[in-house]
Amino acid sequence: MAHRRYIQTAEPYAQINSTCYVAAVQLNTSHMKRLIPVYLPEGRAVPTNQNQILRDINGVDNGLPEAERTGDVVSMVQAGKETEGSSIDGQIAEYAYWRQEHKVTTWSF
Amino acid sequence: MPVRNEDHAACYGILIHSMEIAGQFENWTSPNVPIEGAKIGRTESGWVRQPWRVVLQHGGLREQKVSFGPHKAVEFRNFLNATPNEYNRSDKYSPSSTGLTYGSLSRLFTINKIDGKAGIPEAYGDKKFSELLEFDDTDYSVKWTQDWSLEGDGVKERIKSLGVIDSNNWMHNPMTGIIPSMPLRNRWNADSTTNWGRSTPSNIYCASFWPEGARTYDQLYRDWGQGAYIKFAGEELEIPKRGTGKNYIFVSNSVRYNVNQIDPLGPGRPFEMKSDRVTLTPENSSIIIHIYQK
Repeated sequence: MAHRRYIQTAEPYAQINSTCYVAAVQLNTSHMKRLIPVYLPEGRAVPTNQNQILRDINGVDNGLPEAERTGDVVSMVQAGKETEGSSIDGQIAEYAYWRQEHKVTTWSF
Repeated sequence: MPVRNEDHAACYGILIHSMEIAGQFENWTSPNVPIEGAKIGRTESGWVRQPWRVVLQHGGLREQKVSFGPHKAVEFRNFLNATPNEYNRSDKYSPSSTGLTYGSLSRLFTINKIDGKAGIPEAYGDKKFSELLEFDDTDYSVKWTQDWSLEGDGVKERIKSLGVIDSNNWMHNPMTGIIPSMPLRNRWNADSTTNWGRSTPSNIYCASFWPEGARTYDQLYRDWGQGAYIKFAGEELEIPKRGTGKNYIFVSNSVRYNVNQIDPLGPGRPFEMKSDRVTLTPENSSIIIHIYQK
């Protein structure tokens, strides 16, 4: 079973202020869309096309080289990597993903 | 780098992400889009369900902020006009008994702006959140700080006086099953030189539970229960097995019990409780989350 996670769709949801908006993002592992905050570059309107939202989430237009575009810097949350467990199928997918490498042995008392 | 170390543990349907932070660190709770099946009522789009989730820490502060923005002004006003009692107990927010808003740990540790102390006492249960929390109506945001101290002058007395835990330090619903339908920012600063640090570095444990094989929220709430004990240093604490099936436990700080124990029960992984009853020894304070099959 493949466990690679990626964004399947992204659309604008709401603007918070002049530097932040919320995008509705669907991962390939979950059919529910979840809401993530995204930096909005100064002076720009909230994008309406998916391509620009993905560029914003990944910080493509912020001037940093690719290696420095970590989730902390560019997108508030690492949309493709962070926890996705706010829905049932997201939680099941997240648990299955981490269980591959980090299943701990049972311990009873 | 704010996260110095991280680890993950998955067992019994419980997933725990452990992080040792040093410096400022932010973490977001990303809710579902409030559509049918996710939102908690046909007309209530300000809240959505989620599998049980809690972020534990042992002492220290945490700042939380939810920004609604002008497009969600109705949800912002509904949030501020709500009361802790309404959201914790009203059937309006738990159709089919599937869920309660806010974990009870929030009631224990949130600093209210009426008396400026940690915890929301029973007497403030009917106060509006606009009276209890800081809010900003220019960007439609609500912000509050939590103080997770279990030790210190007057802390134990204050927690016991809030009316949240019973005489055996037990309370229901520490894990949150319903959250605001906008992203919630958690912020820590593991640096004792700032106002809201107090621990250097600090460990946080993002824990979630979904029973293996379950597919609906009704299955979760019908078949499983959850609660927590607050263990204070210097006191023993007795933990009985609950329900009729499996019992799982995870903790915010190491605890020891009094029977044949080699290693302490430490944070960052879940345990299964098979004994009918254990007594924890006095040395440490801790939050003990107890999930059980009804």
